[in-house]
Amino acid sequence: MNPSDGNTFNHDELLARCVGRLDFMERILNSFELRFGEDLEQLEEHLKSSDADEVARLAHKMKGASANVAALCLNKQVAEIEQLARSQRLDEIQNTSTSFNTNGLGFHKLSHQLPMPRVLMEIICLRFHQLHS
Amino acid sequence: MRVLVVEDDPISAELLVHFLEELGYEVATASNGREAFELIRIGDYRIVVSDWHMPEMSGLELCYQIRRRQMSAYVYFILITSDGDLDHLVEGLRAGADDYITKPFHPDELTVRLRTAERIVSLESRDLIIFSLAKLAESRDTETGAHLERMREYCRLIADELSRSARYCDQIDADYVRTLYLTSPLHDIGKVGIPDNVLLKPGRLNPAEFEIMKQHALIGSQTLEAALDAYPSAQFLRFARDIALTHHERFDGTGYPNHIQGEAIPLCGRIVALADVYDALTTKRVYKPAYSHEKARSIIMESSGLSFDPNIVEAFLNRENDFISILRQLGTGEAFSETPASLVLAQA
Repeated sequence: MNPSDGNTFNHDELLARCVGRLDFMERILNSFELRFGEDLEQLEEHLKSSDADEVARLAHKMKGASANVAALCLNKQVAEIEQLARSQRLDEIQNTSTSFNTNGLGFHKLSHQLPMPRVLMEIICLRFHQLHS
Repeated sequence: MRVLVVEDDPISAELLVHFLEELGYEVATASNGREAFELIRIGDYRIVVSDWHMPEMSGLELCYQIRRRQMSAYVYFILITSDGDLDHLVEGLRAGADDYITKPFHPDELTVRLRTAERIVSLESRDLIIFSLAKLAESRDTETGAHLERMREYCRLIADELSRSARYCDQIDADYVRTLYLTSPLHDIGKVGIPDNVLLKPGRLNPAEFEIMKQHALIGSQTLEAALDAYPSAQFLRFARDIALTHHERFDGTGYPNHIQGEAIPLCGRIVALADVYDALTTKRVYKPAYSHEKARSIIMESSGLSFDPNIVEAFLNRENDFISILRQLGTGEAFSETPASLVLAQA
């Protein structure tokens, strides 16, 4: 699940879903980044209050959104959280969260695993290339 | 074609809407099943692409609600969800979904599935042809306004109410209701064969003219019978023929053209008879002004067992609030007045 492993985001997959429209793709990614951060904060709150149903519901929603924007790494992580919440194993999610912290990637900072700046840079480079080719 | 996207996650919704619009669809969105159901109820959405898990009402419940309620046209329902396992697939299709797609959607897959949806929905063009034929007949009868639209709604209400009773539940199923809804607008198709000087006469018909007018029941049924001979597998034509032939028969046998009585009159003809007269009573005609619902109700109750099947009158009374709603929604908004009821019952 390391953002540098090359499997964090499938640019081509999302671009196809955006019918090749880079500007739209950029807008979607910006919205996703914002939304995902907010959802993570909520997820933390639900974890603190040990509300497994809400954790599962929110993780499921995040799973769908991350799949649609082809954020593969995040998708796997929230899918795992959803499964753990559905089987009432919130402690293991907390452990997962702790492991993030151990790695210097606090749960709250999970969103920073998103290679968004890199993605946006790619988009900008592509657009630049298109304009000057 | 209009597509309704039902999705509580705004990003997924935006992606879907953008993709569908690029394919040329007219797209609307709802953020949960309840909101979607209201849009479907009042709007014209033939294809729904819905998420499963949503607040207030899930996509699964939305699907159940749509299938439970007889919509005026078939709604093709595609469930789109992150749950890709077999159990969810079976549960979704069991709820009445036509198709099932797992997130994330794949552009080529979604495209072909939507084209399939369009093909299925277009089968209903048959319905449009039938309705166009009926409109053609109505176009020569300038005072009836939205008569056909109201008629078929009234027919559906009665049939739906009857289907809930032990007496009729075996005879009237969802397909019966739908076929009645589809074919009841053809009840007066025979009027295309009535001369203008009779059909369009701005006043009460004399006895000789009324005899000519009565021919429309036979003309209509013979026309539909000819179509049925050519296409015997088209069951809806059989239904339409029975309606055209018998919607002026009366329960006591004093109607026309064949003076049949009681349950010898096909049920569809008995239903249309009441719906037709209720509409004639509550709207303005060349020979009478519009009556109030209360007066129409009173006339129909007095005619129970005479003009109308008492069971159908009872069904009408059970659903009279729905009749009033349809009259308000599709009526002409004319002021109500009083005219002898016998005149209406004779010429409706």
